[in-house]
Amino acid sequence: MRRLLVLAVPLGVLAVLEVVGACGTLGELSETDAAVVPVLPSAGVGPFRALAKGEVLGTAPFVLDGAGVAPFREPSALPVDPSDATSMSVFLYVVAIPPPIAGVTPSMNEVIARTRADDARSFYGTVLDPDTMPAVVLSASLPWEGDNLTGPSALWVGSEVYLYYASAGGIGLARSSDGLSFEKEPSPVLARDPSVRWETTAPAAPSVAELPDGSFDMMYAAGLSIGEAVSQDGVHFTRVDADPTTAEVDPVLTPLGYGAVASLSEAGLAEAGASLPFDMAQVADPCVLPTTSPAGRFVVRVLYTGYDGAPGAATRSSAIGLAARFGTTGPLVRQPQPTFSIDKMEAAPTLFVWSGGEMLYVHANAGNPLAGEYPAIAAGVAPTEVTFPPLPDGGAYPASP
Amino acid sequence: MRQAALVAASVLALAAICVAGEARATPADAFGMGSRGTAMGGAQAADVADFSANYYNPAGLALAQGVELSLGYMRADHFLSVNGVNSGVNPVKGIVGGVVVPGKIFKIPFAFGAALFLPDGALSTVNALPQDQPRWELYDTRNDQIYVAANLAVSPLPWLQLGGGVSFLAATTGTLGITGSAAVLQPSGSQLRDALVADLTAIRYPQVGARVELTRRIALALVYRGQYSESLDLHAVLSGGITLQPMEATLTTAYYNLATDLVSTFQPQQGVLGASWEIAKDFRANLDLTYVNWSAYPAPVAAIDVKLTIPPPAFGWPPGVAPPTTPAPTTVIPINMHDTLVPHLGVEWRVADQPKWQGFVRGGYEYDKSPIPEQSGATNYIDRDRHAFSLGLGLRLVHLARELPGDLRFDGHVQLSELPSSATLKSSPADFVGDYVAGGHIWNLGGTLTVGF
Repeated sequence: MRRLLVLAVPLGVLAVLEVVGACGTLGELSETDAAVVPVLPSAGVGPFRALAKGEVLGTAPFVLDGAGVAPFREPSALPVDPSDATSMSVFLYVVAIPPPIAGVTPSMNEVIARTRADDARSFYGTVLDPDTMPAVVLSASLPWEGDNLTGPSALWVGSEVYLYYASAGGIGLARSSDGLSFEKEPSPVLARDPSVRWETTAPAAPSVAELPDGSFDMMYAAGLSIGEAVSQDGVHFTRVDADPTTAEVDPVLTPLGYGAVASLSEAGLAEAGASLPFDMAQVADPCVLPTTSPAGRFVVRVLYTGYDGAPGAATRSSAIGLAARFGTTGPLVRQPQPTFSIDKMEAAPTLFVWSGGEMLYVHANAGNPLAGEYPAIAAGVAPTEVTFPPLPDGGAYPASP
Repeated sequence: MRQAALVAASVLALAAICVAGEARATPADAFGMGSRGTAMGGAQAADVADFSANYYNPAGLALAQGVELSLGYMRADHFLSVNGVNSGVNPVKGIVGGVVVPGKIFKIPFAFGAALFLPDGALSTVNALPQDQPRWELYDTRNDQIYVAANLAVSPLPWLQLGGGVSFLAATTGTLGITGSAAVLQPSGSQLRDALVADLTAIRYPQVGARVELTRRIALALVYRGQYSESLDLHAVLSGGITLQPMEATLTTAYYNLATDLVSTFQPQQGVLGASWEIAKDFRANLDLTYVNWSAYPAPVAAIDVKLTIPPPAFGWPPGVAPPTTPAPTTVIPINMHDTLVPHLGVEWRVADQPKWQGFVRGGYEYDKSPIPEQSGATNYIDRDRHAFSLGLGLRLVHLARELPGDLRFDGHVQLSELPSSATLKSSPADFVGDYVAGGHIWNLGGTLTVGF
């Protein structure tokens, strides 16, 4: 009996140790081992996953869908309250072609409209939000603008909303204190410069960000490339040469080009299974996102549309790419892999950031390839592990745009 | 009878040595085995005689004075973070224990030993991640493994002990099959059936050791632990009809073959040179230098080869529908780790020496320089240099009862591993992960009870 006791005592002590060890806590991590969801480091620009069925009402990944009646393109996201990082309320400025209303909007001209979602997914004026339409905030009215306004880029400057846009005569600026009623600058803030040879088209698709020193950095699309201009006041922009070692003004990002692709082929990479670059023919629609890395380095990140075929080509596809540079000047470095690709001619990226992740908005082809397609606003999210609370029946659409 | 059992165990162990192949990681490599060893910073190769000799130096088993049974528990909690956010590395926790059975064969001291680490959770964990996904390469799931070691030792001369044996772990292989129909235009209407077959198989690696007593107070040791790796080979086969809408007629049949080849866990071969010096009657200092052949570490990334075959429908593809193309095979980026020399320092002070009991205070330090090169490119195998400081207490009770003529030992340890924070700078500004700052610490607590008969 004593022999059993001698053995039982230490084994009992160990049993207690085991229980204490298994249930014990050493701090925040050990409360529940399985409850800790790892948050992986990320540059905050993808890769993004498309929103899935159940995460949006209607057809995923579309969050603003005019169902062919009112096509929406080229979104620009603006946080409703930039001081509240947890808020998922976001404005989208989009290019729209409102349905004609007799005596009011007679033409098929493109205008800029504003909509809003308070959960980053349920936008005022989408097809499932009955009897609503995004509010038209800007339409062509100046002689240099032509008929259409496109490429909105909205940002907060103090308490004002600066809305840059593209038109036939270049890039314009309108300012507003409420985000709905805008006052335009009378002249373009960046017009076409015939001396810049790569700008074979007027500057378009602007994206403007305010830098830490208070200056403004603009990137824009022209020809097949992306250029850069800077301004101290957000009104008067000067082009920046990405490569001062050459005599000409150079773009900050060019398509990889068919010559480079041929080199890849000669090197045997294509035969070895390496896919051809998604942006070898054209880069466009920049979205400038300056930031400071956790290690303290200033990084200018740019989301853009990459095309593998030239404009007007019989077949070409697109994807959203990422390019970036350290510091405030110089050419951009491409990320070889697209950051968002859904094979629906996605284009014109814009980013909304909240404390839970990053939401990417693009325009993409909605509808059925057999019955006809039209542009609508689609969304992707990063990190891909982000989950959303379920939507209530009938959606959570805001009462106003 | 006892000799017969020893001989039988010896034959079994030797047979295992002869067929030893590859095996995989042990929690002992990271956190030590048994509280005395952990408290002394793992500096044990020339100064170990209990069950933990199965890991530190099998030759030490021959020093055992009687049959010993050990049982304990350890728990290591990781507080590792990247950019100030906890990385959620799971703790390593479980039962440790073992047995030592000494005896004599032909008047030669001889011993058989076995040791075990039995994790609380999964007995084996495999986490196959893309090579660009950040992970704490040397801590994420790697140490949460079942570990069993069996060894033999002899002392052919009073100043020489030799030992060797095998350690056992597990590997996983599997096949995933998917059949059914996939609707091109309405994926949610697809009807797919899947079947998964997986096997957990034992693998093993060898270890051998020697201990030489130079003087009554100084001993040297040499230990070798074999290299081992764990493979996860997964083959998936998908065949199914392609339709435009659910329940519609099949346009064509697609065949998707996926094969992965993954070394999911790898432990490099190790060589240990150990020394123990009894500086004073009640004070001992140990030093181990462990050479770790990390440069043999293969990239822990699944090499994926996919073959996608979709014959076009009889009347061609409908307008707007394009069949997917075969994805390019994975290009695995070499991890290029470098070999390391890990110093272990340990001291033991007998603070009390009474006829019925003895008390010990122990301390130790271990420095693991990270074998992983700067992660400035596309891969993100996060690691940092590790400074492990440990403390321990021991209590030895002798002649506790008539039924327990040997002793009863209780050892406890606490170990703090500091991984100083530092920045990883990416060479490309367009890296999806970008720069990050990583670091943290690990707390390791445990206790071991040994009954000597």
